[in-house]
Amino acid sequence: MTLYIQLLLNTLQIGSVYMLFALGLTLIFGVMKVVNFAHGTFFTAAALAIATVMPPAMYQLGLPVWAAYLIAFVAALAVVAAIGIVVYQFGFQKFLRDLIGSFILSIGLVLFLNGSYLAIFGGAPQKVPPLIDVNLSIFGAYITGQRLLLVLVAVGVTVGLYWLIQKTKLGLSLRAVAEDQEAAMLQGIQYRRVALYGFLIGTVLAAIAGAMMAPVHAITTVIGDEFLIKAFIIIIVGGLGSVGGAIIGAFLIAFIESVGGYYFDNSTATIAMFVLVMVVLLLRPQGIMGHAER
Amino acid sequence: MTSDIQTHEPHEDYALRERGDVILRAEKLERRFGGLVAVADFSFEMYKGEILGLIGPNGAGKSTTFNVVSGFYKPSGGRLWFCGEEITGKSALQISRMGLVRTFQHESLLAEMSVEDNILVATAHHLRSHADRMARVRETAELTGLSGYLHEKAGNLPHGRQRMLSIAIALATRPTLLCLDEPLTGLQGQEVKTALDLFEMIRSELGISILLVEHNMRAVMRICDRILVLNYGRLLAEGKPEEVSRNEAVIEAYLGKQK
Amino acid sequence: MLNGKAGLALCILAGLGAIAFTLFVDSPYYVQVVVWIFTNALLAASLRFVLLIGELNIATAAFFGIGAYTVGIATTIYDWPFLVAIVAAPLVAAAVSALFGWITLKTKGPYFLLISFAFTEVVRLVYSKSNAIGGNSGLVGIFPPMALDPWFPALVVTIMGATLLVLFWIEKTNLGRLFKAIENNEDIVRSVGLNVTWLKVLCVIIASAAVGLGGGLHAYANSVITPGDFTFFVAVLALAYVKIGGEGHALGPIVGAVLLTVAGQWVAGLGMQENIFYGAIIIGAILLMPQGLVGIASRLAGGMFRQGGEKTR
Repeated sequence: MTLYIQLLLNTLQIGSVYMLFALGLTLIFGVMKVVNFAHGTFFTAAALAIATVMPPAMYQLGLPVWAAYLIAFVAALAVVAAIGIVVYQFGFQKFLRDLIGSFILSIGLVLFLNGSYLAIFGGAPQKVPPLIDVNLSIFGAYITGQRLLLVLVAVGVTVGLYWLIQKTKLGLSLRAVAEDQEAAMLQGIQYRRVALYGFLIGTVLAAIAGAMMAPVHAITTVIGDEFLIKAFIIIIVGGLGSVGGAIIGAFLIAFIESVGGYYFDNSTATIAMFVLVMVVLLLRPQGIMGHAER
Repeated sequence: MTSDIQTHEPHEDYALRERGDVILRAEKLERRFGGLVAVADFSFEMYKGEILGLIGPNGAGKSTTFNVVSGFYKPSGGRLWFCGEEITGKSALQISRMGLVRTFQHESLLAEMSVEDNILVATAHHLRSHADRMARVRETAELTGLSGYLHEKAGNLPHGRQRMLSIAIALATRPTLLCLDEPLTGLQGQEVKTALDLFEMIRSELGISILLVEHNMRAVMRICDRILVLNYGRLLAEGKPEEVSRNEAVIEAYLGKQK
Repeated sequence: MLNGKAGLALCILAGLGAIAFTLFVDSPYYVQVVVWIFTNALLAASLRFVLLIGELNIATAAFFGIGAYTVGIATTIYDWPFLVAIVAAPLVAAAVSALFGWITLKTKGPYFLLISFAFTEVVRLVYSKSNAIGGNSGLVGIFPPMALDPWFPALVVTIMGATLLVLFWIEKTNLGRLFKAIENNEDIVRSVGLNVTWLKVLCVIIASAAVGLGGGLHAYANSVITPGDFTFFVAVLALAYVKIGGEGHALGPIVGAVLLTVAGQWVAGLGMQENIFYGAIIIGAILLMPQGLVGIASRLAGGMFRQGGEKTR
């Protein structure tokens, strides 16, 4: 019993990071029809920003850990949003709805940004202190306070995103553009601006995930890329551009990872995920929740 | 024979025995998209050598019917026969190989390729030798007035020629039944006349039956032997052009629309 | 100059020159660079071959690896003779790609791109986990027969050059036309009685057999292979060769492979961060010259070479 609860808790923690990561990817795809291989670099940038800002804020300014983290968090979001705006204005804007062109651009960005991170921050992993240094026990299963916080933030952000998409004017534009870009433009929606907002929301989601992950994970210059293949599998299973699919897919993949990882090992779990993708493809080529594409 | 009709038992070659020359038969055809019913309870027959018109106001279900008949959509209900063989649920590929070939309303040609390659691709399944294929290309280009444009890029052709090319592509397979999806859209006076002459010639010289979905009412009235009128996904009227044009329900459907 | 018989003659002449170079130049390093250029050109040409049907096949890297591992396993574990091993490489790659294509080519565009990416990474995981084939450290000691040793680079370049020509030739045949037609508009191709799915699978099989053969030769030329040699990054670089050379013409990937391989060697010599360099080149190329070098050359030459690089996306 304890084991099952532990596996469920693990699924929850892994899944909430995957969910934030995959939501950003699927949103960017939905609005821009761009498969962004550089998504992991935003995640990395946020984690690196935390690692850079937090220690001096704590040790030189003498701030308490939560205040240092809060400052670092804001800095991380600002840095990533800035990178996002530059990358969009000078790059992706020219490749909206161009699958191959944007793919190449995003790959170039991965190489360039990851190379730059390595040149600036070096190869050694960095660590920052946890915000909440307690362990919680639920029916004998353990979860650290830090990871529980991560899960809560992820759920909160997802609810917020859902509200934004369903209830606000911007959300309506995002949905309209994702559904049918030409029709949306005919109704007076400014595609380029909406695409920019969609892209920025996506990058900020990656930044939140990266910033939340920083206190619980060794921070390297490629930390974000580890999540990329899983996130891609998630959005294939969930359907490209589908928000609900990304959420369900994230927890499904996290479940396979925590159970498969427990009974076998992580590589076997990843292979199992791919087999799952193949089965999904054979039965439903458009993913679990994706719209039927003829 | 009458018992067949009374019991309403679908019988594969019922139509063939009865008429001897039915080429396409639909029985209670239905197609839904989610909750939306695009076509419902649509039954019709088409005879060999006929030019059959399928008309109706926008959104009446013409294109859907067209896509279901050619296998690009699966029907949600009902059955279809082509040349006496049931084609319900068959794929677009299987249906086109049986000789029911369609054109497309939008993106109806291979825009980046030459006119010659467009027609050549269409012959690939049907003819084995390159010489035969090229002969078919020349012959088809001649028929459709494209002989002088063989080496032009298809996407660069003027609109009228593009419409002709989309017909040429389908024609190069030498189908039994040619389904034309709004082939006259955007054509000017003389071009319409040329196209109608071509349809007439395709029927009389090549013996190909034509199912025509078209907006241009005057052209449809002129060339079709019989017309089916769809409204809200259901058959509203059926008959010879003069019968249909006098039908009150049809007039109402169109006038209501044209306000 | 770029199309027709003259272009073909030029290519063959360059190929013969490369073969002569490997035979008569006495520097193992430069000979190695020539072999790399041909390997990269073959990777790029295989990737571009699937681009004919409009799909970006990251699994090009996987099939390169499958060819290499086939030769590696055949030589170091089963002691198969050279000839059998080198024939097995394209056959195994083709067989696996047939299954892969049959399942995945029901999808297209972004789905196919992502699945081919996942496939590549998962195949690499399978190598890493299989201790029988060396796990993470891979296979060592993959040598061609002693008798072939002095000729081996020339042989590799000859076979790879011939494979490039075959791919080039297929593109020019009716089959190549059908592939391009699918890229243009697959509904039309289907509507005239052609089996689009099967044609797509066939395209992937041909490209994979070619790159599988390349992988097999690479294994012999390198004598060591590890899972890390076959990441999706191999396909990304191949795409960079295609894009920088220009995808509108069969020569594009070859030009790109020559340039980037040589430039990569130069950068490695400078001790610079290789990744930053490649990243900057790729970003610059896609932003500044989306048609590639061959595309630009064609445009400069005007209407004479209309076929090359005219395509806009």
